[in-house]
Formats: sequence, structure tokens, C-alpha cells
Amino acid sequence: MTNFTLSRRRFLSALGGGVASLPLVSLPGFVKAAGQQVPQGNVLLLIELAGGNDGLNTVVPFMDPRYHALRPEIGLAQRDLLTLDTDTGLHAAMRPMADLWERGEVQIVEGVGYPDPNRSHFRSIEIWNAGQGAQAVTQQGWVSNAFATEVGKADSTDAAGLVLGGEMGPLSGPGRFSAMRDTDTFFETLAHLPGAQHEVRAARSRTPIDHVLATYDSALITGHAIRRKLDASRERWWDFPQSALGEQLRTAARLLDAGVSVPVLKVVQDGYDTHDAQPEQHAFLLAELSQAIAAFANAMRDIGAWDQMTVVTYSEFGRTARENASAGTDHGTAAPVFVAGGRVAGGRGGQRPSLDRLADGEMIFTTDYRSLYGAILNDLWRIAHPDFDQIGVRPNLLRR
Amino acid sequence: MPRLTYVHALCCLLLSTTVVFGGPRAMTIEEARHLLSRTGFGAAPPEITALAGQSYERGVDQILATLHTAPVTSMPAWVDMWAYPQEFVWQLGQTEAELYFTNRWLEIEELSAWWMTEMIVTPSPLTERLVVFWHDHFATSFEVSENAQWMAKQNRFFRQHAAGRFADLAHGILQDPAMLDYLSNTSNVADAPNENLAREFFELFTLGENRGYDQDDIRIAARALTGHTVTEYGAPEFFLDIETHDAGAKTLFGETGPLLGADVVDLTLSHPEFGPYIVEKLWLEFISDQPDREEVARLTAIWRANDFQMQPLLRAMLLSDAFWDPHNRGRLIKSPVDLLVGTIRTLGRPVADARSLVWASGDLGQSLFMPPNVGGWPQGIGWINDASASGRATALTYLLGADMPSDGAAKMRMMTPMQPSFGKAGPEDLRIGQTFVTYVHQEGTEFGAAIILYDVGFAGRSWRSLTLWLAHDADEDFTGLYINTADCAPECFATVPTAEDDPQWVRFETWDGFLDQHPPINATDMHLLQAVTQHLPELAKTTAGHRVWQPDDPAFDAVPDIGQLIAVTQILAQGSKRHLGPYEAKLVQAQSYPNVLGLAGLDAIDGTGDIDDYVAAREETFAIAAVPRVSYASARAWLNALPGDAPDSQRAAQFLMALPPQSPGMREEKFARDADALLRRLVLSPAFQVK
Repeated sequence: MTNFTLSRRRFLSALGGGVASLPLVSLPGFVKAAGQQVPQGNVLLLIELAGGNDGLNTVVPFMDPRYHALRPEIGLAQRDLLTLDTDTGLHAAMRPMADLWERGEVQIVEGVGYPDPNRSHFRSIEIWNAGQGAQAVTQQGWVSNAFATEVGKADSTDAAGLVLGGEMGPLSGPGRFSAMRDTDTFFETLAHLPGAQHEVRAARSRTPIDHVLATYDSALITGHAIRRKLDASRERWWDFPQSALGEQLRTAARLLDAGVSVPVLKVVQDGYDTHDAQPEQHAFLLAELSQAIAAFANAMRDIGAWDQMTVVTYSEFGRTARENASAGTDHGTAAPVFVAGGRVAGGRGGQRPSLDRLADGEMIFTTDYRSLYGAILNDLWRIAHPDFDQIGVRPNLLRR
Repeated sequence: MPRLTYVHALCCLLLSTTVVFGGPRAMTIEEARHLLSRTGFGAAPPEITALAGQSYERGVDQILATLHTAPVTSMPAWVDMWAYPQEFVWQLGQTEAELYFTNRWLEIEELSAWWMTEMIVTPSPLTERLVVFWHDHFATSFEVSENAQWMAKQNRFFRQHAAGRFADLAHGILQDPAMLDYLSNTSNVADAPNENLAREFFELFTLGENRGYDQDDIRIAARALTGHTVTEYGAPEFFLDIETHDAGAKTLFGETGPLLGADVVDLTLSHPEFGPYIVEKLWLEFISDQPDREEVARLTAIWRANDFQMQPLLRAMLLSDAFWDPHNRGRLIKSPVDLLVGTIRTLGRPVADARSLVWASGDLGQSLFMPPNVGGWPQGIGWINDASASGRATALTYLLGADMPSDGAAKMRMMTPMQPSFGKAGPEDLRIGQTFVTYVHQEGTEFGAAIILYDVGFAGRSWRSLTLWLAHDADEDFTGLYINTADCAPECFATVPTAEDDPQWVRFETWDGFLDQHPPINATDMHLLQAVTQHLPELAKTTAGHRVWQPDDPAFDAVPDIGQLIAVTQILAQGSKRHLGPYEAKLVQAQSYPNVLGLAGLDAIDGTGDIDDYVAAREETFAIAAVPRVSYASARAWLNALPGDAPDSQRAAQFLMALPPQSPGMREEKFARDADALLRRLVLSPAFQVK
């Protein structure tokens, strides 16, 4: 196994500086550090599990008789699970995730959701993306909202965030957020954009043409910055699974390895809407997810960046506590969130929702997703944003 | 004299005033371009100049008059052909199943290319714009069903009603096989209702989220929609399954009764809150990115007063102040299809291979027939992000630089699956296309098998399929055949004894005296019964090598020993000869097996199992060209077609752009000789993305 300290030093020197505190990524220029030592260079990787992941069969309360009563056919028995502790099992397909758990690098926050749960796919993912609760109708993503900065402030990141799969989601809205499918196509297409603008226009898009102009500018600036860094670094080979998710994470690893400074990355894994024949499909997806995260963790350890990474999975909703008649589940409410990274405070977080007290047949959330966002913003970048403050109990995500 | 002159002058002044304020206003070039590109895909210069000078009303009426309900070009031939049993193809083998679905993907590519072509050549782009709109609104995806024929027929359905009555669209979509499959309504049964279709019907298709309905209404609507499914064995079409339909009393929006899907539609359209949501979507499609609430209410009232017909609503929208308001120029973002097809129609660029448009549009986020989810494609600024911005620039660059194809571009169609050719069959010969054994069960002395005969023809009639159940018990010396008449009713077996517990099945059993108590069977029924029972051994033999699902075989790929099956069919045949009499006429089986089953190319693969090579070879052999009705050989030719004396760049911008190009100063002399550079400058400018 690689000597962890050695590889980190190698990486730092590759960046061209010998300074011990050289950050992996620069901070966005908005942080108001109240006299604290602001942590340098943390990166958030969001993995959207699109379709509604069945959390109850992912993190399984196998000791709870209600669980088995609600799921006579698709319920999982203890012997079919990876035991995490005395009353918690992990779906057997998630062996790589269980390995990370054993290293203390995974926190499972249970029962994450929001009041007045919405069970429409794209309405609920809008709610998750915006982080404003079930009634709000804004299209602006919570990351864009939290990073909102005054115009003209110096900003040394290459991009505020990059979407490598799916919609802009949490990163939609004003700010230097970009999207790419893979690096090759990105540069090929970048070459066709007209002109060279030199300043980013005002963040507010008042009309469609403003949005188009801002996007063109952003694409050019971000694209050139990323290209410079990729051209200057040699591509490393890592073993990533050959799935859509694996490819997105490979791209993420490549960018980070090249020293691209971007605090937020977002990828997507499709297919979780398991209304029928769930067992096989769910197992397939969870295996794919775990393998991809493990491969990413390995790559990050390789370049000495795993301590700066925080990987967070999220989904638009969990699924019904009770199985349906087609060996599947329908749209539900609360679900667990996986948080993985080199400095994550491993273990169970949040509070397991009760299967005895259901609302309208569904689980009641115990951690408001906004406090999860607040925890991310606080623990990674010491950002205190009023929208994500003081909403119930906030998880502790990173070790102090 | 001075006084006469004064009066004369006054009269002329009054006359000219009358002309200015009394008559219908003539559209300028810019307004004509605006009307055409909002209602169509771009606009070629002659189309614009022809419309300029007309009043708004005449222009709008002219465009509405072009609406039609059928495509102007022919859809691929396979759309109306006999469709093979998709659900059983896997039985033929791994390679066959893979090839079958590969061919389906080639079909959807061909269908998409056809639609692009239709959009490019149609004299009524508004028709196609509406078809895309409804396809996006009532979203289903080929990715779920993998049934290209369903998508084609749905496309036809949308075109038929695109500018008709909304009620027809809403009723029809609840019986559309692709929709019933896509939203799991085929699993919506009385014992275990599935709310997916009911929810999206209210939320996305009619009322809009939370406008006038709640979770209880969704539950009721789901119950009403139980049993609304797709036939399993016959031609996959809508079918109301009484057995799984919840016929109990339900109350929805104040009405009580044994409500069905059609009732849900009628009640929803009568709901006082129905209307604005759809009008808003149309506003976002035609007018601007910010629907005006009062105007939407006004337009909704017009729509309702016209029984929710589309044409009166469209007319009112296209003649509204908001549509013509200069502030609303450039307030819509072109969708990928709009961008690509519009640029081709505007500049008159023939396309050698329409499939390239299909791929380009997919790269930009709009794969025809495959919207990302039931909410349809993105809308407005959702189309533009950093990735798609450069993707659009790339696609347009290739479009502008593409070579002009010589005339007579290759137009070969993909080899289409043919009907089975039977050779000569006498009137009472039994014709069978393909036999599948779908289930075999042996327990102790009991034996059961489900057999489906496809493409059955007899005595001048033909049916897609006949479902059979073969039962045998060695101990009891019992053998019987049960035939499901739902597949062929009412033409078949009306006089044959039915099963005791289920009149939908008729039966023949080999024990003595089976027919004694039963009234006589008529001649045609008798002959068909003889034919099926006595030829069954031969038909069963054709399934040798097929994989069959068995209850204790989780891998589903066992090839069972069909010896027992053959033996039982032989007992049946002997019994039939003995009790019904021998049957002389022949069994004729299908000749062109691979093509009929949608397995075109099976011989090419031939044991190597390498489908990729086959696909590559196939794709090289066909291209579908698309030539707009107005076309130009070069950028210079296009520029020369623009009327007026203004400089090139000015006229070009007038005919191309809704907003000024926003590029740093274009120097005229630079483009004096380089028409291509001028067009490239304009088309690649950010302002070209809006309309």
C-alpha cells in the first residue's frame, strides 16, 4: 500500500510549490472566518441517486420485526447482509462500502428528509436541489445559494463547481458553475465557442439572452483554465468500474489529480426507481455505487487528497416502507445518506426512523436535509448560511 | 384657387389618416420572421418576404390553415407491419434476443431520422412543432418499452390530434400502450393499485401540481385506471381487463360511480381549475419565458369557451399583444431540435444523412422519443449550460461547413421485417408463423405446458396468436387441450365446449364420451379444432432448441428435453383423430423466419455472435437525406436571395436574428467577399440561441 504521507508530499511538490500549507484547492472568496483557522481545500463530491433509492433495503434494521412484516418478499435477512453493528445490516452488494466503513471513513446519516414530503420525482429533486423546503419554488441550487458572492471579488478557484453527470441541480443558478461529460468532448466542443470574453458578467440572469451570454463566458473561462491544468499534468491510470458512474468519477479524479481547483463536484447514478422486480436491480445499482466510490477513494488516496474529500450520496426520496405487489416499492419519504471521506467521522449518524410510527404509511424523517447541508457547509468550509442554520439537530460530519 | 386647394389638401390628409388608422397593419420583414420562426422551425427568406405585407390576422390564419393531421412523407414500412412477440424472443436464444433488441434500436434511429426529415420538408412546421410539444408534454420514452412501433403509432396519434381537441389527446393517451407501460399502469390492478399514471395524469398532463386535486383523488383515479392495460398475447394494444379492474363505486370531483379511465378524463376537463397549466406551457412554448397571469386567465377562458380545441387557443395566443410585444423578442431559447432544424430550414442547407441530426440533437440533450423522464425535456434556460453551450456551437459549426450532397443522395431504407411467406396454402390448410412454448411443468404424473401459436391463418381468417394450454395426467389417463378464444373471438370456436370455470377458454379432452352431451360443433370450428390438435406434434417439434422458463430454473435459460411435450401432443393428436375424425388438410409454416421475427441479420452473425460488426455494416448501407423545400447552394446564394439594398450584414441579421448579434463590431469589408464567415459569425453568436 502506498505510504500515505509520502504520496501527499509528492503531490504537493507537483503543484510547483514547496509551501507546506499549499492548498489543494483555493477557497471561494466569500468566507468570513471569525478568527478561526479556516480549513484549506476541502472538496465535496455529490452523488445523486436518481429515481429514489430504497434506503430501507440499503441500511437494514434487521432486528426490527416490523421490517420483516412490511417486506415479506423483498425484505433482507441478517444472513444476507453485511453486519455493521448489532442491529444494522448493509445490503450485501455493498462490500466495498463496508470496507470503508470498517476503516472508519463512512458515516451513515439515517432518516434524512423534510417536512411535508413530496413524492413526485422531479418536484422532490427540485426540493432537494434548492434546499428551501417543500413549499419553495426557486430553481437556484443550494450550493449556488450558499456560495453567492459579491461581483468582482477575487476568486482563485477554476470553477465554483462542476457537474459531470445529470442536471446542474444543486449547482444551478448564478456562480461559476460548469458542466462537462468528459474531458475529451469538453475540449473538442470548447474549441467551437466564438470569441474570447474576458470578464464574467453579473451573476443575475434577467433574461434568456443574459443567461446565454453568461454561460458562454463562463464556459470559455472555465474551459481554458481547466485545459491549462490538464495539459500540464500527465494522465494516470486508475481502475474504475466501466459504468456511467465509474466514468464520471474517473473524470473527477483526473481533474483533481491535475490540480483543478473546484470545491464542488456532482455526478449522477440513474435507475433507482424500482417499482417492480426490485431485488435484482437494487443489488446491481448498489454494487455499482460501492465499487465506484471505492475506486474513487483509492485514486484520492493515491494522490493524497482523500483527507480533503467528502463524498455525499443523496436521493429525491426513499421508498415506501411496505413493499408492493410487484416485488418492488413505490415513492416514499426519508432515507439514509452516506458520507465518505478520509476525515469523515465514521459511524451512524442521525436517528433511525421508526417503523412503528408511520405517517400515511411512510417513515417520518429525523434529520432535516437542510441541517445536512448546513453541516456540509460548516464542516468543509466554515460557511454559516442562514437558510441552513438552526433547523433541528445538525450532524457532525468531519472529525475535528 | 387657394381655398379649393386648402380643402383639397384637407381631404387628402383625412384620407391618408383613414388609411393609416383604419385598415389592418402590414407586417414588416422583422415581424414576419418572428411569426414564422415562433410557429415553425426558423424561416427561409422567401417564406418571410411572402408573409411580409400581410396583416397579423391574415398571416396567422394562413399558417393555421396549413395544419394537417398526417405526415407529408411516409413513415418507415415496419410501422404498420405485423409485430412479433417481444416478450418471447429471448426463448430463441441469447444471440437472437440480443439481435432482436439491437434491431429495435436501429428502428428507433430510423424513425427519429424520418421525423427529422419530416420536420425539415413539411410545408407545415407548426404541425410538427405541436407534435414535439405533445410528445414532450405526454412524455414516454422508448428506453423503457424498447418498442419502436409503439412510439411510431403514438407519434401518429399526436399528429392526428395535435391541433384538434385536447380531450381527444387526453383520452387517447390513457389508452396508449407506450404510456401504459411507461407509467406502470400495466401493473395497476384492483388488488394492488399502482398510482404512477394517475398521479402524473393530474400533475403533469392536465391540472398541474396541486391545482385542484389531492392524494385522495390520485388514489381514486388509480382505482379507476386499474385493468387499463396492454394485451399480452395478441397485438399489443389497449385492453380493459375486467378481472383486474376495480369496478367498485368511486367518487372523484363530486361524481360518484363505477368510474373508468375515460371518466377520469371527462371529470378532469370539467374541473374548474383545468386550463391555466396547459395555457402556461403553451405560453412558454410560443410567447415568452414569463407567462402573464391575467393574460393566461383570458386565454384559458377562450379555450374553455371553445371546448378546449387547440386552434382557437393558438389563434388567440398568436394574435395577443404579448406575442407581438417587442420586449418579448428573444425571450425564448431554441430547443436542440428547433436550433438544428430551424437553421437548416432558414439557410436552406440539404442534409445528406438525417441521422447526424438525430445524434447531434441527442448530444445537446434532446433525443427524440427518449425524453429524460415523465416531466419531458428541459425548458427555456434549462437547455443552456456550459456543456451544452459548446455542444451547440460545435453542432452549428458542422452544419455550416457540411458539404452539399450531390442530388440523388442515398435513400435506402433499412431492410424491413417482412410478412411470413407461406407459399401456397389451401383454404382449410392451417398456417402458423411461429410456435413458442412459454411454460412447462411436470410434477409426478401431471404435465402442463403453455403454447402460443403466432400468426395463425385458417379458412380465410388470420389472427395474431392463439394461446393453448396442454394438460396431461398419466395416472388418470387424461389429456386435454384448452384454447383461449380471446385471441380470435368471435370468429372461432363458438360452438366448442368451454372450460368449466372460465368461458374464455374452450377445451378438447380425449376421453370417450367427451362430446356426447354437447350440441354439435359446426364445420369450421370442427376443422380448426382438428387442425390444431392434430398438427400440434409437428408444431411442438419446431420448438426444439428454444429456451423455456421453468419454475425451478432461476437462470431462465435451460433448454429442456421436449420429449415429454412431444409425447403428450401425440396422445392428443391420436385422441383427436379418434373422436373428431382425421383431418386431411396441410400444415403450412412460415418461410422467412428471421425477417419476420425482427431478426434481420441473423444469418450474417451466424454463430460468431458478434452483433457490433453487423450493426456497423448495416449502418453503412443506409442514409436518409433531407432537403428543405427552399434550398441554397451556398452562403452567397442565400445572401443574394435577401431583398433590399442594405449591406450584407444588416440584411442577414434582419432575416436571421431576433436580437442584435452582440458581437464586437463586425467590419463590413471583412465580410464583403466572405459570405461564409458572415453567416458563421451570426449563427455562432450567443444571440442566435434565442428567438
